[in-house]
Amino acid sequence: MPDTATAPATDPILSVRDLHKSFGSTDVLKGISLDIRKGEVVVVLGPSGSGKSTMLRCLNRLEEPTSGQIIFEGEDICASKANVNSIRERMGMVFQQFNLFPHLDALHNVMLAQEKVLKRSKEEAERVAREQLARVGLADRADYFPDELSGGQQQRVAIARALAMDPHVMLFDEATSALDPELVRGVLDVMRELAQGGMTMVVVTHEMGFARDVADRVIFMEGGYIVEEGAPEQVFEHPRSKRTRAFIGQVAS
Amino acid sequence: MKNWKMTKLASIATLALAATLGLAACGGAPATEGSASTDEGSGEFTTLTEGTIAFATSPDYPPFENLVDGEYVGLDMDLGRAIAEELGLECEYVNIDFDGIVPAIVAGGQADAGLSGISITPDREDQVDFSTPYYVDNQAVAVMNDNTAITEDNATEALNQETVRIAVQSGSTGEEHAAEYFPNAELVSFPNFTDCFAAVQAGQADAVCGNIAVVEQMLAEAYDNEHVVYTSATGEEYAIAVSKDNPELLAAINEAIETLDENGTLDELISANMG
Amino acid sequence: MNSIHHHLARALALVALVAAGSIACLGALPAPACAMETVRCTGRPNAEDDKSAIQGATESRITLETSLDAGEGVEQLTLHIPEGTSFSTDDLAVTMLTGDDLMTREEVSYTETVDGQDLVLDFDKPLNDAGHLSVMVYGVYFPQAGGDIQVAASYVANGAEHTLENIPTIPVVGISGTEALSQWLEQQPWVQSWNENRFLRLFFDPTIMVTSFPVVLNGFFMSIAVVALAFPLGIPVALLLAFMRMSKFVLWRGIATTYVNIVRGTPLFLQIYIAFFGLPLAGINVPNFPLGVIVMMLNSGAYMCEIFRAGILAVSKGQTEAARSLGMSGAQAMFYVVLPQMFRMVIPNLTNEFITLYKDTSLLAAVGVMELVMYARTIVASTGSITPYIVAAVFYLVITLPLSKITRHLEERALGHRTRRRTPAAASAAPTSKEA
Repeated sequence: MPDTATAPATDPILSVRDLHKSFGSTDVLKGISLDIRKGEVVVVLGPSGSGKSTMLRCLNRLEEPTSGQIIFEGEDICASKANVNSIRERMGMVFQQFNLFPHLDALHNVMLAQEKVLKRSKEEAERVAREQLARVGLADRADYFPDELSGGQQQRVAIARALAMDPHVMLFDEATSALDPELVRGVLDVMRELAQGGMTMVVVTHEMGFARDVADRVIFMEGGYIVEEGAPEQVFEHPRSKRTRAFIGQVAS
Repeated sequence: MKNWKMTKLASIATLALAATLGLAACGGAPATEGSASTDEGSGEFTTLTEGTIAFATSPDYPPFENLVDGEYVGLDMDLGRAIAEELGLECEYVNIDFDGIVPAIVAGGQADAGLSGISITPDREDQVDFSTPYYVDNQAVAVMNDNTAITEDNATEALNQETVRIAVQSGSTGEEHAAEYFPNAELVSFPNFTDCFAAVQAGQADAVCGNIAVVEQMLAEAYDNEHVVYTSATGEEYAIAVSKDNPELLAAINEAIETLDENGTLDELISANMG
Repeated sequence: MNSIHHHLARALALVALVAAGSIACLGALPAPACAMETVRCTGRPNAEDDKSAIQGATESRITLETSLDAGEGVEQLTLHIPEGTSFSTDDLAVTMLTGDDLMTREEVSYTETVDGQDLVLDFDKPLNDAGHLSVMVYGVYFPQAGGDIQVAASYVANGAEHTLENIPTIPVVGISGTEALSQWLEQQPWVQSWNENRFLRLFFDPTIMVTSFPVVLNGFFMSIAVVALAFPLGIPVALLLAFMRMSKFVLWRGIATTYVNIVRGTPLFLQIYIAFFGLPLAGINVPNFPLGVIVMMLNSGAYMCEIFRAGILAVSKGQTEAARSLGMSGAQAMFYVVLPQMFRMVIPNLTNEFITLYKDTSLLAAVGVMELVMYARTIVASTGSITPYIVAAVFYLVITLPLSKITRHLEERALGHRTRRRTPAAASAAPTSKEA
């Protein structure tokens, strides 16, 4: 496991500058700046309504930022001429509600975008799909439809679906929040393995254990600002902000 | 016993059908006196609603029956009112498509008699009884003025071609006439006679075949860009259709027509409407 | 028995008389004498499936119309109707049509005698007016097998007998199987007692059921053809409208919304009238059938547009987001992710729309499209029985009942759960989607 402190000081793969987002008159993000380096696992914590999901969704423009700059692999993704589809290809996203395509079985859920976006052949797409399904431990569920799978299995298929696109960054939006407690572990295990494999990840979650064990860096957000940022030991053991301390205390209890 | 039940069942079903079709709407009163009550008193006739005689008519046939501002006008309509007056009844008209009138009289429940420029034909006589005829009419065929293919000189042959479409009213003698005399032509049937003329205007048909008085009236009033190219003296007699189950009513109507004929009313009505 | 002898004698007599007549023509009487000419000789169509066909073994009528010159003095007319064709003298109608336009009718008084296949009319007064003589013989039954029926005629004018030349044959078609069955049924005692009941006769007359079935079947095929074309063609129209209604461009939205509101807000009957009588006046001429299909297509397009729109909106936003997050374009997300789910969801509604559309083809009867109801109507008009409508109703139900059942099944399935299970393990492991 690479140590954050000794990570090579390469250019960040993803860089956010003064990101603002408002819905109508409600300001949700009030100036977020953030750099994420290749291979880094960043966990975003914060109470509900702190803007962490919105921030994540701005990263691949599922939400349109109101102002600010997001540079991904050297390209300003907010520019009017930016090819948002090709940017999203390189950024996998996993949703709280899985959002598997209910009319397709697991295998075809994973194949669809490969064929339509990456223009892979059917055989190639199927090979990759089976590989990714095996990776999340669901090789034997390839021909199951989403409603035949448990929530945890569905989320793992969703992860496989994102991974099949060979993303450079994975975004996890509360990937385990909708799961029954006993199913959470399986999903977290997959995410942990992914992190250990060197995947760049931005993870919005409430799982403190995961943050503590896997994160290279923890970001604490509240009220549309980044309140605290640092290595997990530092944020968890010696939070500088009172709010962070209160939040961590609350969640831990 | 069994028979009584069946009759009862039949009248209930007929009522139900009439109600379902929504055609019993006129006057609103249901047929309380069905065929069951006809056997009381031989000279007395019965109608569906006491004190009213309901005529089924298809008001698309000027100058015989037509709706003008919601009023039933025309020779038949005047005649119906005169007959009702003779019989001391209220006159009521029930709007039914022409091809449904004879079936409606056979089925009963909707109207007492059919008064709609109905020609006496042996086929119809099998189904209903006819009154004394009150008007004699012939057949005519009209085409657009700019139709050079079908003219008065060649109509008999020109109309009898496979490429010719003749608009006729469904169930009319015009339909039968065209079928017999122009068997090669294609007949296009419309429930409504006025639509036959519109169809010729619209190019959906090349010609329209029907009773001459009506054709001429339609051409005079609405379709002056069509003209008659063919006539045939079929001498069809118009009469009132009455159910075979109601000979008493037929006798009363015949008596009324006779009176109207003798006192000159019928001639007056004809000249007033055929002007 | 003595018919051969009789015929021979007749034939000889005719030959002699024709000769005599010609001489008479050339000689004594200058202008008009032998000029009784055939105008037409027709049979009355009596088949239910083809309005201009004359079929055997079914009641028909023969009309013989001849032209006469003035002063002809026709005293007697003999019609010879071929063997195998029966006729009656009831309702016999003999009329003179005179005047310039032949529109004046005069009943002719006569005495008729029937001698085998000969119908002899002795006129009370010799016919001397110029005009057309029309003889209508009712109660005619042509041979069951059909064929070209040649009526022959001769007449006596001023004491001399002539043959009427150039009488066209009447083409008679053989009786159809159903017609034969119907006629057989009519003879059966049970049918007769069945039909004695007024209700049964009006609604369920077996003889009419049999004859109307093949006729109404034609209309059934027409109705099916209309709906089978209009419905699938309406789907792309509806999709286009639905996309337009959800477009961010006001113009597209406005056009589609206006269209949908107008079509859904006016009766289909009116739309049919406007299309059939209005478009041609505007110079747009489309034949009947395609026009019917187009009107039905455009109408159902508006209704299906709303079904599709609701269906698309009902597909969760997360589906589009998931598709877009994988790099799919908006169109790809729509076609590969949203629409397949939408179609699945709206199948019950679409089936209902299909049923409605199928039933609504009956409205085309008003504008001369020969569909189910129109065929039934023509028989109702000629028989006075409601039975053909009952037969038509059966043809509708044949389609609508199974479809309604399927719709119900689909709706239940949509509410319930997928019944398909891959393995027994999965069946026990995932009774609902929430559990493991």
